[in-house]
Amino acid sequence: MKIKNVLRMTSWMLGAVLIAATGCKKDKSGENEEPTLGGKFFIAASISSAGGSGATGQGTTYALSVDNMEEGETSIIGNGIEIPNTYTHFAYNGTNTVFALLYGQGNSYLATGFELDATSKLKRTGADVVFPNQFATVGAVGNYIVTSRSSRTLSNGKLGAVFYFIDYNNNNATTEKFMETENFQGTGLEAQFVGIEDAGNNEFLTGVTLTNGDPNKVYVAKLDVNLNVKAFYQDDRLSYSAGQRQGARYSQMGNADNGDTYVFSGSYSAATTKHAGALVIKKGANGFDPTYYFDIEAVAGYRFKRVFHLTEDYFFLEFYNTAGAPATAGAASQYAIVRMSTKEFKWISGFPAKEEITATSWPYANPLTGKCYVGVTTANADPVVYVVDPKTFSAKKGMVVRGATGISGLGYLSPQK
Amino acid sequence: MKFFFTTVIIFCLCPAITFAQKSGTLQGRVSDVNGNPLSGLTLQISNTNHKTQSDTGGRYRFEIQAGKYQLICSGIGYEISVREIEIHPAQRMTHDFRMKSLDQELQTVQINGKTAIQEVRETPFNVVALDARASYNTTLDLAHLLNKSSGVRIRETGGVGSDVAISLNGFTGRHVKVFIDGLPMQGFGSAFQLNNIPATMAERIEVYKGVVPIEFGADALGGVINIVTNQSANTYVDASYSYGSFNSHRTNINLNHTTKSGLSVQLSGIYNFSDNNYPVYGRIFDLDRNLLPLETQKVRRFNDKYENISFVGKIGFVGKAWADRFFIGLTAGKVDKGIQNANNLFTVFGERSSHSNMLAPTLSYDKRNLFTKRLSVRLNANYNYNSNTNIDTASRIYNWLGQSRPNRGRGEAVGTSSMTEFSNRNGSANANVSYSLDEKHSLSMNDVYTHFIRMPSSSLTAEELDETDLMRRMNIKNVLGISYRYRHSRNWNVNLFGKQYHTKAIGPENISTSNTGTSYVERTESFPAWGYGMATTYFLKDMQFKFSAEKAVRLPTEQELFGDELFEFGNLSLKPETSYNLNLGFLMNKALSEDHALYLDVNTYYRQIEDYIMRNIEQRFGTGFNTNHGRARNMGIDGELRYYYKDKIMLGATATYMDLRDKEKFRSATGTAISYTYDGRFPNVPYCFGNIDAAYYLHNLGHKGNTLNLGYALNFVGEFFLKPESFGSSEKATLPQQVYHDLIATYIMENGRYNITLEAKDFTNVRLFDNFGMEKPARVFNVKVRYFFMNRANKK
Repeated sequence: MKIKNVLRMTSWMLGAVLIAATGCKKDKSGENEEPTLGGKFFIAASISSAGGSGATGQGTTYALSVDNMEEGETSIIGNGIEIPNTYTHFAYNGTNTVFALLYGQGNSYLATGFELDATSKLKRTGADVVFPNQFATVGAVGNYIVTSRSSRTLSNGKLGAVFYFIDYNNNNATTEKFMETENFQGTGLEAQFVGIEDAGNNEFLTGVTLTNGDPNKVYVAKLDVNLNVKAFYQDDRLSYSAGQRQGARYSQMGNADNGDTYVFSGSYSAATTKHAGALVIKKGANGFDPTYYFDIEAVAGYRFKRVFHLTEDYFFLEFYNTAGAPATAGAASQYAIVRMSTKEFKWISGFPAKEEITATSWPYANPLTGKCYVGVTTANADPVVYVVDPKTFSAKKGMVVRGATGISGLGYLSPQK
Repeated sequence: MKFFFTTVIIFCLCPAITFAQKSGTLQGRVSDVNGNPLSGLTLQISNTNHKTQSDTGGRYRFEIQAGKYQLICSGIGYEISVREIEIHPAQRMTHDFRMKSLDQELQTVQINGKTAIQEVRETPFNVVALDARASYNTTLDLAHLLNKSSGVRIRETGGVGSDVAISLNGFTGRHVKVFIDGLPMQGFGSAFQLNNIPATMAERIEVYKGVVPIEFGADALGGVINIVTNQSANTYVDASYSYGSFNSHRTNINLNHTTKSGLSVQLSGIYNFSDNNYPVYGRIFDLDRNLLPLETQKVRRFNDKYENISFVGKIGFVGKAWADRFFIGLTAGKVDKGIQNANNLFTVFGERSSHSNMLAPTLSYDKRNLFTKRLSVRLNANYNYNSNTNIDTASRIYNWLGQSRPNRGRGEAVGTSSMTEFSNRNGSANANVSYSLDEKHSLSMNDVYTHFIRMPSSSLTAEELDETDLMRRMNIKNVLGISYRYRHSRNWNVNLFGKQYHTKAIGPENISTSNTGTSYVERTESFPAWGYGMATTYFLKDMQFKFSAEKAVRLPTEQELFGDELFEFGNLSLKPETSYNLNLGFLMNKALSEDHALYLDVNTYYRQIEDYIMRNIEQRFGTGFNTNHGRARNMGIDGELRYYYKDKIMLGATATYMDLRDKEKFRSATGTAISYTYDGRFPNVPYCFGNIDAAYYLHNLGHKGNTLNLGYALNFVGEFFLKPESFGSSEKATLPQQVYHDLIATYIMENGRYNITLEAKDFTNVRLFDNFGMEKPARVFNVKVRYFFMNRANKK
């Protein structure tokens, strides 16, 4: 039986890092079901260092479970499963498992699973998934969670990309696959992939950046799970689709609930003449929709860094705080919600001021209720889970997480049967 | 704080303890049993600061107040001689010593009398001096010898030759500096370090906690470790070999020859080898499914071989008119070791290795009474060059069972290139000049200059490297110290000092404001800083009281200033870290009767650290950076108690308890969010530990002059948390309380010429851990044979 599942990728970044793709989309097949009894919300609360003045090194995660994130408070004091890592990306197997992924910064790259046991107690799954050749971007395709990292030297000496396919229908057994990326599709250039969006039939779309390529073009490739290139699309209305900070890459693609794939470009490159904006690849279409172009930079006045899907065709965008091409370490703490089909844009209301926000988690939409949440950290208070209403472009303060210095990811889990 | 210090200093200078000024003269001559004069032997009057050395004619002289004393004559290689004396006002008294060589006596049983160790202990500083000689028959390296000291813990990552960090009163890493004969060991490379230098190469180790004398020009908040190598000017051979569990071999030869004309040659060689294949509990990576189960299995380490060879040669003169000691030397060494795992136990490497070579020429010059009786000069200099290569070229992925699968490309470690090389060059020089104005007043000036340069080739893949990796990082430090000592009386003295720190750091800075590229320039930053303090001591019969206070600073490193241009951003506005520390000490060395002696040493301290340099991470910038943020407070007590019965029994214990707490109220330098670790203990710092040891000597066993020495030690480390104590519920990362026992038996033959030792460490096989679950070897057996022969070289 094909298990109904909803995948959401979450990504959060801490340290220097990067992110990947795909947002919180609603589970269509689950819309008519009642929320599972005994379910709990999952919060990955973190502290940014080992704690204590002068402490250095890796941060720590406290995995918490709560009944409700809309109000009240929880705390990491005497509470939570302690794990000596801070996770950067999140992925979901429906409400069965939350996968927290660690972008290792030279350390280990792995994914830790969290689930509820039959008594609704939060626990780690029996094994972590390891990515020996690293990952930089993550997405969901069929019954796989897929990660990828480019610019790897393969055993034949050529450059390529590594992909991992976590099969959560098979106890998370994970397969490693390689693909050569030199002279990609006859361009003569090396391809790097950022963003993984399910295109149905065990195929997925990924944003392509060509090394030394034209900064005034956007490329998207369609691959299958055996890494065959099924299609290669390009368009000259946008720059490439990838956020960047040194080694880090951020996905700037997302599927709307109707299956259309929105391809954004934050125009990171200072060499591009293109505005930051978005195009669409309609569900099942063979290329970009020539009639759709959304010049987001024209309405926002800023370029954006990270893109997350919320629900329907609403997306959550993180903008740089200064206009024009972003500086390498430029602050980015302005947030807006866009509705892609109608090209509506509004700065989110109800959030702290951009000067106050130091970090946000990946937005999370509960597949069982459709409600969206995002963790917001400010310099002057404990981190807070905000309840986001995309349709009114607003957010309100929800649960406070005492003691933590950040919230890296959120989720909802049902007990194991 | 300033007010407080001023008050303290005034308070300490004020007490008008007056003594009768009636003095007499004590003089004499030191010779060997054949009547040849002996120079450089130490003469000391018990429980006073009166101390001198015999001159080239073997003569000595004291002016002391009338009273009853013990006069002690000691020197390495000689039996200690103690005389009870009573001197009256204006009396001129003569005491000659005929010193018996120790090759006629047991060297291991030196439990009475005043030695250099006690001289160090009796300074006003908060210092512990460890007698390395007592451990010559063990397989201890200097690091593990240090671990027996109160207030000190070594933090280690594994077996023989594994990386060690010293934790001193809760401070570790950059806050503790290590010196060898007064010169910084920083930059020596891994071939000649605390973890591979055998105890036989040292005479003693001095551990200065908190307040540090100016002789060590160190910007250390935690304190200083000084290794004093064998200064003996006799002719001797000390050779040993040990074999133990996990195929561990340790060989050490020390040769020392001094001619009658004062020409002295010292040669030492060290060879250490171990398979380090001790069992640990690891998570077994499933190579087919890329899964790492949470459960652990008992496995054996398989890529942790360690091999180290080092050589130290010195040639020079002793007892010349122009120099008491003048030596030039060369230290050379080499380390090859396998790298089994990263900083945690779940990343396993099957073929990674690291290789390091070092070469260090040294120079030392020491002259008392230069031109005038009042002037002493000491000069030391060394230059270290070390090259390091990390090899990671295997195209395989391993798990703890030693199984592997092929992988793309070369290199097992993610994100690192297959072969990295870097070299460090490090020079230091130390000059010390002392001048005594008269019996009571003396001045001393010390300057330490260090120069460090590294051409980094970072451990990153080609795509992550940038132009800064080819730029130099340089750090020049100069610490000038001036101290004034006022010796009010034989019972009381006070030491005031000031230190001027200056550092210059040179490194790359990104001046690009766009993202299209980086534009690096070399940037230079200079920091001056001041520190000051005082130390005083008072003797009362068998007791000694010490008090010291200091404002000390630690200067930011070039990494903190400039970052690594990758994940760490530099902060050029960092201020030095500041520590205010107060120490109160009590020491008692009492002969209870003819047969019983007691030694007690207790120190308490209070530390307040401000402008602690703290690493921060903020997502909106996406990077780590350092800020002057954070306060910490440490209070603690550590002590040592020893009891001796004749030369038959020794019982001892050391204990340490400290209360190191986070006193920073805010989470970050940029906000007002309250920190929930405020007032909590620092994580990953052992705070309660100690050991108990006992030794029993059976003399003349089997044959006259043979001794069997039986020893037992109980080691204790209390539970401590790896992460903040208050956070989290289940699966909390703690290191459990560890209690383990060691046994040692040494049979000493022909008065110490031949020695055989059997050791059983952790014989109950308790699992031992450090840091983040790093498992250390548990039960270890060693057998050691040692040959020691000394021949008197009678100078002149």
